[in-house]
Amino acid sequence: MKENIEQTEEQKQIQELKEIGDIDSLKELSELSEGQPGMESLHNDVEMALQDLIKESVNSLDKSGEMAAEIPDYQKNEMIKQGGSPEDIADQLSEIEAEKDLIIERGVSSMNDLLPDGDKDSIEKPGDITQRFAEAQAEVSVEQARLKSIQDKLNQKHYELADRESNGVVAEDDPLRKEIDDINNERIEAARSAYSLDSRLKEPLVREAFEGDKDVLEEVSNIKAEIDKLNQEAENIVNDPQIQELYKRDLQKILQRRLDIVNKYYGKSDELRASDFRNGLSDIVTIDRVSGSSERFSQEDNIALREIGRQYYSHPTNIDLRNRQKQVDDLHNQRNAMKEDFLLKTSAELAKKYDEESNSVSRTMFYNHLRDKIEKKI
Amino acid sequence: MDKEDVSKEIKKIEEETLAKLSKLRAKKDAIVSNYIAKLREKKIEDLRKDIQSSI
Repeated sequence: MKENIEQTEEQKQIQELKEIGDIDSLKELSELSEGQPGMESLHNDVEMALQDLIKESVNSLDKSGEMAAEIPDYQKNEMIKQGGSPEDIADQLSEIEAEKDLIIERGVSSMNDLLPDGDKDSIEKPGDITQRFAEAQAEVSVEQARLKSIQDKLNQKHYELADRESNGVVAEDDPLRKEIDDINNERIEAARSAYSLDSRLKEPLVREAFEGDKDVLEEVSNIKAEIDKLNQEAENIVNDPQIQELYKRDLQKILQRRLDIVNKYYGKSDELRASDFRNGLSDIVTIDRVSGSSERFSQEDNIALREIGRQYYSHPTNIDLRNRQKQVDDLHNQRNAMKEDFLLKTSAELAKKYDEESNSVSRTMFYNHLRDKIEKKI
Repeated sequence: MDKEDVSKEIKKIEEETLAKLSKLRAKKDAIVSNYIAKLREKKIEDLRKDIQSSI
């Protein structure tokens, strides 16, 4: 099970690096794994992730190209005059935000001046839901940043382990392995915490924002329930005690036989390293390569290793494990798609609902609210 | 000022405010679009350098 988990963990990390667009780390990982015995599969995964990222970059370039093409010429001329560093842009946008607030403030104030005094008091300023939403997001972001930092630390430790393995054996009880397990547990906990905080802080605000809008509320609720269900289903598959028991009973025995053979050779040649065996021998193709190139296995052991590899891979428990892993991956993909829907239904719908005029939700709400009140009064 | 005048005046203020906001939004869009265009150029340049260095 351990090797299976390690492999999954590596793929998961590659996926995460891909998701955050961390090309530098992927490149570094690609260089580290290139040509390393037993790391071919990892190297291929990294390369594929890099290619996907490059494709995405090209697609996004196409999209931004389209956006740029839609800008009228007079604005393009204006743009040429502007430009500058990200800080300059941020300053310019802040100035615009301030100017926008001022325009709305003046408009509201002028409208307010036209009302009789008694009516001014009756205008209630609605709760600034986006402000609270932003505060909730800020709190969630802190947790997400913590998660990212743990993930970085974990990646670092994995690189360290890969580096040490490329220079020789790293014992199963090496403190580094324990450290990696601990950091991984910390990462799982932080991911859960970030997700739970996100739900706890944002959901009530979404409900409040869409109060009375039954369809949206129901849809958001359904999506959330579906996400919880998928998470639970994935967790049940991973933590099924029955499969863990089967693994110990069936597969560990096969691997032990393989290890016994490998141990006869380990240390006798610089070319045969522990990492080749631990990482590589789980892959029958690599067995062929290592044994074929070294010729240090006796013919008898060579045959035995091939047979062990065949048994290991074709064993029903292993097939079951691979199927389960696929199910978990499918569930996670479904969950991610659902999360995307959830986000669309919250932030985008929230913005659509209140943000059509000025891009300033609280001000627009206040402004529209005020206008409604005034129209009712007249 | 009677109710009709107040109503007209409010409509006027509303239109003026929205017109100012609209101009401001166009200005903001221009800055953002410009920034995107510059990022795009930079990305293309980076990709080009990457491709050249990998040949």
